[in-house]
Amino acid sequence: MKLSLTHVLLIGILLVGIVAFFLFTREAASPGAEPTLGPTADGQQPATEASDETPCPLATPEFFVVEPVTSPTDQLSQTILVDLGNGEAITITTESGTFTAPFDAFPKEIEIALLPNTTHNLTVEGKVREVVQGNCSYGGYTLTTTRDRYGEPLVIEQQQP
Amino acid sequence: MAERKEGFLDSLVDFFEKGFKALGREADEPAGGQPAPVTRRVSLIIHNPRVPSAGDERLDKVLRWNDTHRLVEGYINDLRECSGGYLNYEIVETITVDKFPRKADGFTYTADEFVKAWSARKGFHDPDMVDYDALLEEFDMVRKVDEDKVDEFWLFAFPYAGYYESIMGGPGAFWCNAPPLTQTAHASKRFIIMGFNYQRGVGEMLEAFGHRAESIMKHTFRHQRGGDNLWERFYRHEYKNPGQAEVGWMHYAPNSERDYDWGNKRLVRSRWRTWRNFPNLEGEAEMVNCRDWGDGDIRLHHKWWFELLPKIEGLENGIAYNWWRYIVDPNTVR
Repeated sequence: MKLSLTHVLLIGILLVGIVAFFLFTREAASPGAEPTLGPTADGQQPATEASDETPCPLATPEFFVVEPVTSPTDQLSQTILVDLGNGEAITITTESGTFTAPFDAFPKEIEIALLPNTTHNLTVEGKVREVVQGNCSYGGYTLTTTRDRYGEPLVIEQQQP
Repeated sequence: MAERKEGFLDSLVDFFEKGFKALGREADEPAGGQPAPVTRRVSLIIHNPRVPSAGDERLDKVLRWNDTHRLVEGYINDLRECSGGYLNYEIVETITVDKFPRKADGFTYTADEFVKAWSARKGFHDPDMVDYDALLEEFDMVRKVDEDKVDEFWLFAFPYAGYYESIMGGPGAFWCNAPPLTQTAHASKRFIIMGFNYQRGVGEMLEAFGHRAESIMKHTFRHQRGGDNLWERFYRHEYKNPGQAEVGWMHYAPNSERDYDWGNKRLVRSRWRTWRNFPNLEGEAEMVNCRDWGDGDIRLHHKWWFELLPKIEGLENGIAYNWWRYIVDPNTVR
């Protein structure tokens, strides 16, 4: 059977269409164009369906609470109570200096020095220990707060008698 | 962001790609008003065993954790408010379980063992993962879905319960911040099991819902490329996309420099306010910082984020302008 020019063109278009279809479906099935990483991947977009690698579920932050401080006070030091899930270390920064301690008790008591007649604005940082679960790593981040468990600012007024 | 293809053959691929996608797609609809409210029925399952060494008090009381019912109330109210009245959860059954859920390897805590481990913050069972097959069977989840009595399940328990924050089951279930429950593919429709922790607050519950939303929206937009992928635009933030910040995602506000950094005072340019006018996203970027989303409060940040998720009638490129529709009911995702 002799093929006309129209037949040849139609077959050609059909073949190109088939090739294009397979190219398209290959790309659509490869969401790996955007790598999927776990919660410790800085700035990465949220993970989604499995590609070549199984993505890691994203986690909520560990709990991190600071008990209310005493203010005003005439004392020249104060113990701050901090609790942190899977904690590694606590750092308190304020006008009188920086106080760091390992997180080895629950809750952790950290004594900070206070300057006389000074308002102390506390920033509390909690370093969360990194843990690995299967192919996913969690933790390894630092949480920061300037408020107590009730949302009140961590401010201590030292007033000399 | 997907690279654009170049060359004759690639142009042909694009041509056919658009053609195939257009087949079977719903026709575009202009932006309209508020979508009609929906009600989703929830089975609430609370693992809260009694502790013999503490006078048989419930675990949440012994360890002074939160009241589950107050958490549930706050969560339902927040989601109703943020969705503009669209999403209304209704608890249709509450089951309080006087035991610990079984782990995937068969291990089950006793109450006293768990309290001891919690007091020392060590000695928790590893591997931590719960046995989802056992939960599905014990609470007859697939039957309740098939009989159209329940739309989703909310599990509540203690820290280290081994729950995923969300997981999807049913036919064609996909990644929902956890691998799909493929053993439930025979169910009549898709359903989601949330996993919450009564030690934590409403903010953390919203974060679990947020990760569910992220997974579902990414899947919904998986075939959209470049500017058509509005989900990719929505979650841009300064750290990953310098100079192009929009709203960000659960872990990253527009100016965050690390995970959970919702209290960052650094000023960056962001176009988050334009999402209030969706689908019209025209508008200049503004200098913003954490004052716009609650100064570091997890619940306030997440509520701010949810309020910006599009929630109006209309359709474009086969995707509804009401993104809540997909997040609330995964059966609507194609």
